[in-house]
This record gives sequence, C-alpha cells and structure tokens, in this order.
Amino acid sequence: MLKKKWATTTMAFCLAANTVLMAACGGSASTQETKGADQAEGNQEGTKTEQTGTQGQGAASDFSGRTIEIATYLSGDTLNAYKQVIADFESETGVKVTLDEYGEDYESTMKTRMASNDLPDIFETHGWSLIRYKEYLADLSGEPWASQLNKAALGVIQDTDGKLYTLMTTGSCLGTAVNMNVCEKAGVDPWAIDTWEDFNAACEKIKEAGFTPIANYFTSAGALANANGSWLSYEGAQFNDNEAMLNGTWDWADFKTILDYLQTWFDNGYLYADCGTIKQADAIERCARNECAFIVGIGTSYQTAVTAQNPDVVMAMIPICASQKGGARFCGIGEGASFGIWKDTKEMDVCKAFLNYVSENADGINSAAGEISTLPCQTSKSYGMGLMEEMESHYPNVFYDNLWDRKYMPSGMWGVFQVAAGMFCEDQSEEGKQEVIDYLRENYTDLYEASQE
Amino acid sequence: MEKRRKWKYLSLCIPAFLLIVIFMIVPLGNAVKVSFYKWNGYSQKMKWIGLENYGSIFTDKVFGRSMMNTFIYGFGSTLFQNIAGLSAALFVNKQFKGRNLVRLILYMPIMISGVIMGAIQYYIFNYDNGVLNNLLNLFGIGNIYWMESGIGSVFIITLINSWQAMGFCMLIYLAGLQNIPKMYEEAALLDGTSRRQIFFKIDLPLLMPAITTAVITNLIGGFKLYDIIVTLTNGGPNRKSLSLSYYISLLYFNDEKAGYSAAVGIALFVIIFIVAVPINQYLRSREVEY
Amino acid sequence: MKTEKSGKVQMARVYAPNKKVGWGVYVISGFLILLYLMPIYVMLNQSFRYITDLTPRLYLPEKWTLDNYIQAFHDPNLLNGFKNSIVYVVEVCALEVFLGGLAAYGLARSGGKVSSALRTFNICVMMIPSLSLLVGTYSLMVKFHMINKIWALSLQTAAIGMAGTMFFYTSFIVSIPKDLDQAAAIDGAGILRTFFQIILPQLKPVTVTRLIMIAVGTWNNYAMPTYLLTNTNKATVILTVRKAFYTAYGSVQNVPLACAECAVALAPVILLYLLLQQYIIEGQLDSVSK
Repeated sequence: MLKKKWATTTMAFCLAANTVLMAACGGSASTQETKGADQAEGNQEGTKTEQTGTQGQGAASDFSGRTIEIATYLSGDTLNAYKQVIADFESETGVKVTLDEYGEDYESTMKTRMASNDLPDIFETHGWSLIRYKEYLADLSGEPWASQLNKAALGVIQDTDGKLYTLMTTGSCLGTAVNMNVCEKAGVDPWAIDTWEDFNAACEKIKEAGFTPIANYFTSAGALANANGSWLSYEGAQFNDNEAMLNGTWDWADFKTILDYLQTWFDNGYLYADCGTIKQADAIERCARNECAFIVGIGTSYQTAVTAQNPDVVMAMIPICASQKGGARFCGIGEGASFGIWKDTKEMDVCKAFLNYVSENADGINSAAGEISTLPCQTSKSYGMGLMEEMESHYPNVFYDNLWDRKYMPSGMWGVFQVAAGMFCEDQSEEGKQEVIDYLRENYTDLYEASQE
Repeated sequence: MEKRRKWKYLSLCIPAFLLIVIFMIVPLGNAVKVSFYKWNGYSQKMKWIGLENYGSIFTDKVFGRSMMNTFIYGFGSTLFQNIAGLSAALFVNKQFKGRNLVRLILYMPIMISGVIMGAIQYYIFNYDNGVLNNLLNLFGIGNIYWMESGIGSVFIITLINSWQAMGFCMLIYLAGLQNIPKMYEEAALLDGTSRRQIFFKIDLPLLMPAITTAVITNLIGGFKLYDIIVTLTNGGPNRKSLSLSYYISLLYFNDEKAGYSAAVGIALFVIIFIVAVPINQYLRSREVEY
Repeated sequence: MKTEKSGKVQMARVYAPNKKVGWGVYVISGFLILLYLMPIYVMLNQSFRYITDLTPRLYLPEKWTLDNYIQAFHDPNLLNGFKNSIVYVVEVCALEVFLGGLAAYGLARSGGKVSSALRTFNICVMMIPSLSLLVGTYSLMVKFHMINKIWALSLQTAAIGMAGTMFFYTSFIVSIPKDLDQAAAIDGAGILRTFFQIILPQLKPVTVTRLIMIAVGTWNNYAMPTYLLTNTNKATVILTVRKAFYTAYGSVQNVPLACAECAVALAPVILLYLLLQQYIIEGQLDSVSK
C-alpha cells in the first residue's frame, strides 16, 4: 500500500518537476503564478521548514493532517513571497504550516531553542549552516535540488566532506555600494577605482564636493571584517596569511596594516560624525537622500533598500578594492534565504517535500530579495543580479568567494569583530589599535581552540 | 496566637510561593549551575571551569562600566522620578482649569512600552534627522551629536526613563498627600507654623510609606533597565551605555559566552541585594504610624 | 465623595499660596503637556508619511497618506495580538491579585519569625534579574510542553510579579486593624471568607494601583513572551508592533508602517485609560477617609 502510494507519488512528482522546469524555462516573470500552476501536482508542502526528508521526490502527495513548524527572520516583500510559496504548498499537499516570524530576535530565539534541543522543523540558516547550526541540521546532499545549485551556492554551503545542510535559494553578493548620483555630481568615476589609494582619492573629491564619502557604520562587524581578504588573503594581496589563519597560528600582526588604512578614513573625515552609533537603516536613508557615496563591504540588498526609499537614486556595485596594484578584486557570496531541516524532526518526509517545492518555486523570493539566483528555476532577473552583471561588465576578472570571516575565521568571530569595531571607532591612536589587535587575537585563539574540540 | 492559627494563615501562602519556586528559584538554580561552565549557549556540550567566570568579572572593564551605569540608572532614575513626582503631585494638587488634563497627560507615557518608547526616542535624538536637531536647526543651531559619549547617552537614557515613569511616582505621592489627615495641618496652621515647616515636619514623615514604596520600586526597576536601552542605543557607543541586564543578554546571545553571562547574572542579583536591603530597612524604620 | 471634595478644597488652601492661581501655572502646564506629548506627535507624524518621504522628521508630512493605517488594519496579526494580549493580562492580574493578596494576608496576619523571613525572601526574589532566568525557564517550559500556551506564560509572569505584589499588599494589610478579622470570625466566617469579603474590599486603592502596574507591565512585556510565544498567532500585540520596527538584514525599514501599527496598538489602551482614568486616578486617591 505504501509502496504503491510511493510509486504514484514519484510519478506525480516527476511529472510536476517536468512541468515546473518547462514553465520556468519559459521565463516567468512572477514566480508565484508559475509555481502555482506547477505546484498543483508537486509537493505542496507549504511548510516553510526545510524538511530533511529526502524521500526525495517531493511527492506531491497528500500529506493532509500533518503539521510542520517553520521559523523565519525574513521581513517585507521577501517574507510575502515566502508566505505565498508556503500557502501554495499547503493547498497542494494539505499540510498545515505554522510559521514563526522572529525577525530581529531570530538568532537569539534560535539559540535559546537550540539550548533546549527544541527546534522548528524547518528554519533558516542565514549563512551559518556550516559554522553554527551544523550540529542540528540534517544532511541534504542527496536531495534532487542539491545537484542543481549553481557553483556560487555550492561554494558557500558545501562542507569539506561534500555534505550540505541547507537549501540556498538566493545568494547575497557583497561588494562596495556606490551612489552614482553623488559620484556624478562630484566628478568621480567609480569604475576607474582599483586600489585603496584610488578609493581614497575618489573620497577626497567627493568630500570637496560637499558630500560624505563613506557611510560605513561601526556598530556592525562589517566595517572591520568584510574587506580584510583584500589585504590578507586574496591573490595579489599584500600578505598571504591564509594558512596561518586556518591552523590557528596567525598572530594578527598584519592586521595592523588594515587598521592603519581604516584610520585614514577617520583622519581625513570621510565618515559620518555619528558612525559609531548609527544603524544600517540610517545609512540607507542618508544614501536615499543623496548625501553619501560609498559603503564598503555590503550586500546588494542595501541598494535595493535605497531605491525603495527613493526610486530616483541610481546605485551600482564595485568589487572590494585591491590592496596593491594587480591584486584580485573580490566580491563575497553569502547565503541569502536558505532553509535547513532539523535533524530530529518528526516530519522528515514532509519537510523534504517542502524543500523540494521551494527549490522549484524560489523565483519570487529571489526577485523580492534583490539578490543573486542559485537555482535554475530562478529566471526573473532581480535588481541585485542586474547590479552584479553591470559590475562584471567593467571587471570581467572579478573573483567570487565565500565571505572572508566565514572562510578563514572560527565560529563566533563575527561578534568579536563587532565589539572591536566599536572599540576602534572610539580610539584610533596607536594604543587603541594595539588594544583592538590584542582583543581580536585573544578571542580568536579562544574560539579556535573551542572549535577544535 | 495559637500555633494552629498561625500555620493556617501561613498555609495561605503556599500557592504563591509554589509559583515563585517553580518559575524563579528553579531557573535561578539552573543559572547558578551554568555559571560554572564554559558554554556557547546553544551547543549540547559544556565544559566545566569552576570559578573562572567569577574571576573574569573582576578584570572585565565592560562589567565595571555596566555596573556603574546600572547604579546611575537605578539611583538617578529614583532621584529624578521622586523629586519630579513629588513636585508634580504638589503641582497637580492645586485647583486650576485643565488640571485634570495635565494629570492625565503626565501619567500617560507609562502605558507605552519601553521598547516602543526607545524606538521613537531614537528618532528624536538622531543626529542627522532627529526631531530635536530639527528643532535646533529652526533656530539656526547646528546638529548636536547627542549620543556621542557614553556618559551623555547614559544621562539621556536616565532622563527618558524618569520622564516616562514619573507618573507612577506622582500618583503614589498624590495618594499619600491626600492620606494626610487635615487636622494635623490645620492644628499646625493655627499654631502659626509656616507652610514650609508643615511640609517638612509633618507631611514628609507621614508620606514615608509612600516614599518607601516608590523608592524601592523605582530603584529595583532602574537596576533592571533593559527594554529602552535596546531600541535607543543598542548599548551605546562601544558598549558604554549598557546596563548589567542588557550586558547579560549580550554576553549570552552576541558573544556566545553563556557561562560568563550566568555568572554576571548572579553578580547582578547580589549587587541589587546588597544595595536594596539596607535602604529598605532604613526607610521602614522611618515610617511613622498614625 | 463629599468628604473628598472638601478635602481637596482644604488642600488647595494649604498648598496654594494664592487663592487665584497665577498664569505661571498655565505656562508650566503648557510646557509639560508639550514635553509629554512629543513622542506621540513624532509617532503620529511618521505614521502618515510615505516611505519615500525624507523630509526632516519635525515637519508634517510632505504628502499625507492613510495607506499605512489601511495596511495596519488589514494585518490579521494585530487583531489576534489584541486578543492574546487581553487574555494574557486578565489571567496575570487575576493570578497576582488573588494568590498574591491571599499570601500577603497570610503573611501579615501570622506574624512571627517565619513570616518575617518569608517577607525578606520576597524582597530578595524581587531583585532577581529576569534575563538570568531565561534559559532555565525555557528548558523548563519545553520539558513540560508549556511553550506557546498563554496560560503557561501567564503563570510565569505572575510568578515573577508575585513577590512585588506580596510586598505591596503586606505593608497595607498590616495597617488594617485585627478587630475586623475577629469580628468576622465571631460571625462565623472562615479565613478565606474573611479575606475575600472583608479585607480585600478594604484594599481597593492599593489593588487598583497594583493592578495598573501589573496590567501595564504585562501588556508591555517583551523579553519573555518573545521566547515563550513563538507562534505568530499566539503573539501579543506588543510583539507584533516590535516586529514592525525591526529590519531584517537589508530589508527596508518601513518606519511609517511601524508607527501606524504602533498607533493602532496604543489607541485602545489610551482610550481605555481615558475612559477609566476617572475611576483609576480617583480610586487611587480615594484612600483618605475609611
């Protein structure tokens, strides 16, 4: 009986998958509609939770009566797109989905739940599937969509032993955001910038024109962590400390060069006076008012947000600058909306079916998020994709890799960098810098040891 | 009274204390246990390190800073709230048109949650497009970076907290003032005592129960200040406006140092204890019966 | 009522130096009203704006819109949040007043060492920072399947406030003469009946004061409900509004919408307060003549 059901399910699924793929290739603009049509047959488990169930096929079978719990941190349009996928899944398979929208408190709530080993069936991993959540996730490398993920995605979510723990539906692309309106008014050509010296020269011009060159804020770790590879790790960089970083012996002495460089931002007055207390929302608003030019080390969702607040602003993205001539220009790829399945879930098959469903209907989520696509079903070009392509046309040799701190730093360093950013923002003297380096080194050693246990 | 009666009365306390034991003492015990381990807060593994967490407290600069802030929030809020509350009570006690309206509006901000208040105040004190700076701009004054220094931020937070909760004090004092039998005042007036003396020698002592309640509640509330700091400064420039409560949660969720966070939690409890109990004893002793 | 009115007039006589109130009072009142209404103004101002409106926050919107309110009203979570909040607040108030009041009665009347020790225990418990209890409480709730159940959260919240309620009530019950108890006993009333029919009515003003504190605090409670009511359709209205103010990484923060939701959430509370304020404030002040 079960076998028969399985067979029918498999066939139904294949049929559905086919239809979906065909429709997808047809270039659908709005994801939801296409999905709806195809989904009717496929697994419509609208559970947002990622199911680790690999029964494979997403048999669109009837799972009615089953319930799954999904947790999400998404908000705004992206969340609406996600909810649509879930709703479609629910109507197709009869599964009931309970959606927990945690928003800003997502990480702390997840940590509390992990401590009590009580997790939702499907939850988002937002870039930490390998570093933080791995202990609680089910391996999904056998899923049908696992082989369909493009290289950009695999580079980010695949573990060294080939396993992967999350379905990455969108990727965030991190570079330096540029406000073209401001650059034009100041007579700066952002495409001509190559090294950090060029960057500073451009900033000088922008400052003279009366704008604020750099909108980076030091309440987040980004200012201190996202661009580091350009000095320390990438091809043609000033230093090559990769090995030392990965085996825990790095002494952070070279980091001083980065701090010295960042100090020039402060000394030359390129930053906002309140860069130590503002949040990303403030930077977005100021950029929308055409008051600032650059933010170093931020994802394309930033530009999406700026244009939402002021549609007349023209934004662009350039790769992270090189530390010396000839150095690689880098763009980071991070997990965007990614979903994993709790390994102890009681509804493995439903969860896996849901993930399959999502993997086939992620176009809407992608365009709403304004990020880069990772699956073949994503055919509508999001705003972020547009920015990326424009950038590639100017820099054909741009080098994509996982975000620097996720690749070379042990788990937990992001929080450490955040505190260090605050420390540095307050005091850029020699003693201040030494204090920052000591703080980073101490925590790095601690966290590295902890990760080795 | 006979023992039986006494125990009968005490048995009334059982349900309440049962709740307290289950929901406060048990988790507290858990926190004490965790404080002896090194744990990142979500993994299933923990590592025993004995008293190391407590030792770290003494060398932690941020702890020292947060402790000082917590005292400022506690004592500062109490001071401002009580003085403002008493003045407001005296003010609102007079008869004038619109008095009820004023009383109404003064009490209203308490209804607003601390989280929401912090979020709104963020847009008032914002450097670039904050309402306060907009106002100053109208008068030709340039923008002021209100939250620049740790001390400034702490002061602003204390002010906002006091401003918001002042209504509570005002009501307690109003109730207390109205509780004072007029005969005492009238007798004193007849004796020729000045109004000032009446206030300090008769009213204040009789207001003691009200003062005790208000001061202890404000103190403990100020020590535990959390909601408003989260949305207003996120801990302030470089973690300088943290209260110990907020530091505890930051340690747990951001720094992933759950064991240390539990230790700080126990330390906060001890600190509040050491401060509040003597104050309570002192104020209780000054109460006057009537 | 009559006594109170004449009491007020006499108060005015004692405290107001001039019979006629000077215009200074009105100036101060006006200033106070502005000061206290400013955040409400900021919030309302924002709520009528388009998200693309980047003009200074002090000024009125350059283009008015009701879109945010329409969206807020269509948000099913908001209505649901109200329902949940109301249930939550009512449950906590009932628990605290009845269990806490009962326990306070027992403590006040039994006297002696046990009672004294328990009262000190209470004060200590009042000082435990709630964040230290987070992980312990969560594990406990998970073990007994109490997550996402409002009654479980009510028990937990009541437990935390219980010590404070007992602290409040005990000092007031002590001042109620024991003769009343004895009179009731002679009439054949048991302890419980005595409490509910004789003592509790005497404590109306205290109860009202405490109820307001509990109700407002519970309504605005944010820390624990965030973790214990994880299901969106069980969230309280504060959680819903708080979510509106956050920005998930990279999303556009829709401040106008958040302010609109905030206004919608606050409106019933303020309305209720306005309707009841006569009773609330007068009730709190009505403790003069017994």
